[in-house]
Amino acid sequence: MTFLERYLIAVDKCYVQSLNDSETEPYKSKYEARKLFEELYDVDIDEKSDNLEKEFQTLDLIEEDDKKKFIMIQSDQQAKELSVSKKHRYLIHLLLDYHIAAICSDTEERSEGESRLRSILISIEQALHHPLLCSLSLNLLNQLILIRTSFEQYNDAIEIAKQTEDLYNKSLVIEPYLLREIIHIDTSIQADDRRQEFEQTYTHTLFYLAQIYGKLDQKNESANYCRLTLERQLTMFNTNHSKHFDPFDWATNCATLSQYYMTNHDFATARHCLMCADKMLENVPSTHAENDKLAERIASFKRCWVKYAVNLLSDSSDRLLQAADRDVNPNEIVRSSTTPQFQFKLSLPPPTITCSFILDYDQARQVFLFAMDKIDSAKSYYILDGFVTDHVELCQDTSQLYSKLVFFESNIDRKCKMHKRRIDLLSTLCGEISEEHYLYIMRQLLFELGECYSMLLDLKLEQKNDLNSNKTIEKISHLTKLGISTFERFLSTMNDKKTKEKPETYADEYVRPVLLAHFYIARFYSKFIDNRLENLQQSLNQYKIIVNYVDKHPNSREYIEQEYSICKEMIDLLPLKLEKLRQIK
Amino acid sequence: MAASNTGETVRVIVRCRPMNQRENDLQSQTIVSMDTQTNQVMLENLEQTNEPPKQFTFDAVYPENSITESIYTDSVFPLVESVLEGYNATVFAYGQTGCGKSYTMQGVNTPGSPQRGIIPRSFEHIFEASSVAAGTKYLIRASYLEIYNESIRDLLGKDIKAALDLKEHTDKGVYIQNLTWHQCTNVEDCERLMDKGNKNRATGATLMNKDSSRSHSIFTILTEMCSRSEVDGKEHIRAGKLNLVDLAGSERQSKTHAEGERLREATRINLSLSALGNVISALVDGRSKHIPYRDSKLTRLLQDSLGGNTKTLMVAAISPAHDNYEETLSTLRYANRAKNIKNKPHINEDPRDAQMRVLQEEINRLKQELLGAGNTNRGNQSSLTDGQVSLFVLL
Repeated sequence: MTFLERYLIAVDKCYVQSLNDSETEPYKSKYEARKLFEELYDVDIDEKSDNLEKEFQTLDLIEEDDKKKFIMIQSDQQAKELSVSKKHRYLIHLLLDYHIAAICSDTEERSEGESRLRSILISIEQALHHPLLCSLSLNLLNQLILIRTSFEQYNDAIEIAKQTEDLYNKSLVIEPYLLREIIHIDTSIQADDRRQEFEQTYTHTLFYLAQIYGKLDQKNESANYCRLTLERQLTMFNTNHSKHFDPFDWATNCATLSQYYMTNHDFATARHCLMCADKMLENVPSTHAENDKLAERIASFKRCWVKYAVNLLSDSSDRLLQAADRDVNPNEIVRSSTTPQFQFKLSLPPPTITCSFILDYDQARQVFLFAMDKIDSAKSYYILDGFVTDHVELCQDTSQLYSKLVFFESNIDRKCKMHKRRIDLLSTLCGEISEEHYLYIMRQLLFELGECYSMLLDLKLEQKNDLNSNKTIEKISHLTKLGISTFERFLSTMNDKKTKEKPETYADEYVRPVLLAHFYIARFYSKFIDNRLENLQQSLNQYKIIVNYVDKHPNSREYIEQEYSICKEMIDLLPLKLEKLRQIK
Repeated sequence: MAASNTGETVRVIVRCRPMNQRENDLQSQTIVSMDTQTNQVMLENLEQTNEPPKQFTFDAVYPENSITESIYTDSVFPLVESVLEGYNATVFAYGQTGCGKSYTMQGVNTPGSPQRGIIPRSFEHIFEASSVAAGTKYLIRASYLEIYNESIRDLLGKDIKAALDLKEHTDKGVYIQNLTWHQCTNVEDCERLMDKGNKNRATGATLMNKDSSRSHSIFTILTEMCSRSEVDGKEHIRAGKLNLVDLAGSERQSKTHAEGERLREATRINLSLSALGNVISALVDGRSKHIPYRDSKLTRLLQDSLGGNTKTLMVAAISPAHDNYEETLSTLRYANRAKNIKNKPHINEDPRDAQMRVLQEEINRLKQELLGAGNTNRGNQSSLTDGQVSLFVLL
């Protein structure tokens, strides 16, 4: 067997066969591989090749500080070491050292691994970007990044990554040999393929950086490196190396990235990412086995678009409110941008939805219709029976879209109709799903439904001032009753399943919704036109419940500060009002 | 150490097994110590002597000399009782291979042995109840499934390789389509089913060339109880489910490329680009968003076990030996994170600023109304009202 063959066997054992090692002997293959690499130290190799000679003409081996080091030979200089085989043998030693160091790191001897790697680095750092050393350098630096990160020394890792970036940039003008070509240069390899492995290794570097910045909670940096990773993967797709490229994964990751930019209010970039995701999904082969996966993913991306629309409307209305409050132009709050921060190299159709902030009803309606179309389409996959959670979330999105649209609508009648749509949607759902199995969803639905009743009621009261008919009064009474019963049902979902009793203490994340529910109920009671006395008494009782809870649980006050002070005022005022009413009677 | 939880969070207990023969032969040192008063576990790192021991607190801790009987009484008994009342309960078992998970979950299978495991005890508990309950008919069935790489397989099915779908029914909640259920009339029936499933798990692993320690398994006992109500004379059926979940151990620090692996440890870098999606999802923060990955099948399957009035228990098993330091640390960290697992309920609230303003106006109106009334009806006012009115003026 040749040296190369033995080397390749060791590599296979170390990186491929080790994946099948059992739980009880997880490092068996790695230890065996290490032995094989160590055995190769003493094996002589006498490689005579023109290519090798040529490459070593620019690479010298010197002795410095008791250490053998490779250096670049400048054109006007003389080589110190003339024997190609000496240089070659030392380089092979370094390669074997590298693998052994990596095995140390993989087998929980990280410090040992790191010191070996650093020792190798000293020998090659003055010639990192030589074609023979390039791959070794990149792999070595990657290993150091991993080790430093495992010790939570993230800034060290980032510094090393800067070296890899520098190395990569310098490598663009040369052809880095594969690691195994340190032993024997393979003339049959196409330049493209040779480059491919190197590129993949560097893509991993960027991927590691994305994770490191993630751990440092530097999200923008992390997102940027995720984006760079995706960009590099896309290059593979665009050239002839698509066998390693998975359009399904790429599209999914791109769609997920869109959600990051979207929640960061960068709609131009978010839109671009989603459009690329949609486009890439067209490249997924629709084989019989994959059909359902593909159908689900297509429907899933539609949901990303829906969130895009909801967030765009939401941010737009916030922006307009802030501008009105401060009496400035909305552009002073935040400018619309139509240019994404980056662009993937995909040819895209023209966009079908805006990425600028919405200013009026007509624009809002466009966004609304776009989103409703996506929702309807997604619902044909996420049918209620089978996909309860997903279907309900789509309905909640519908409700949110109406609620955002209301902001831009000025006509009270039409506002009422929109709230009515929400009420129909949410109350139907509440009747269709099991409270026991979908408790969290039910709570969300009931709370939102109660808020809808409250908003509709306020609008009707405004109308009443203009119309003042008996019908309106009936409607108001009806809505008020529904509002109260909805919030009461919401509260009852918090009760002990067995005893049906109210809990003494609510979990932190429920304190505010629960107390708000009481607050809403109090307000509803105060809106009844008939039986003022009894109803106001009920109202007062609700305010007392809130205040009593907060007084008993002082930590909960921060959740409901504003409403609490109103409750206290009401507790002071209402008894007087009640007294007045009693006297009138 | 009384077992109680609000039902919305996971109760987490840690049990340390005694040194085994091999460890005693090698004269391994103990690096785990536990304080049963404060429910703390201390883990020493012999390699880094200047480092203080790592400390973790749990709902209960059971040291090397503990017996499974007390663990059952404290922590598992109430769970199984609730199943017999018609609720769901879930027991998660977590721990590295060889660190005592089976010791606690299966244990010494002799009836009456203090180290008889949680699983046979649960079986016994259920069948004892069914045999003494007069007037209640019991139908007890079991299923056994495995989740590997987000694929669900029926370990008791005809085709153990077939992947099953997870669905949601409006009335019945989350379920696995085509999962087989098998009737059990006694403890032995249950144990036989578990054995069969375990064998299939191992066979499947070889067939599909995967590591069975990487998969989660869920053995579920469905207890349907039919009794005639004294109140209305009608027959009522209650159904309780006990889920026994065997969680996959976390990977060692090695270069595996399994798809769908999630970043487990804070310091670990995921080497495979297949994890890019997870890295990106971790960045997405905010209210309205959609991540186009499914929630982990395990979470979705047990979602109605992570809330409401259901009881959930996690049993983490560790070894006391120093050469298991990394695994023990990893298990304790995992268990620590489990303490915070609960469905984060998200009640969205519409922006309230406008409403608050309206409310404030209402209050002002009310004050004015009462203030005005106070002035014109002075003669009829009680002195109390007078005093109140002047207070409002101050306000």
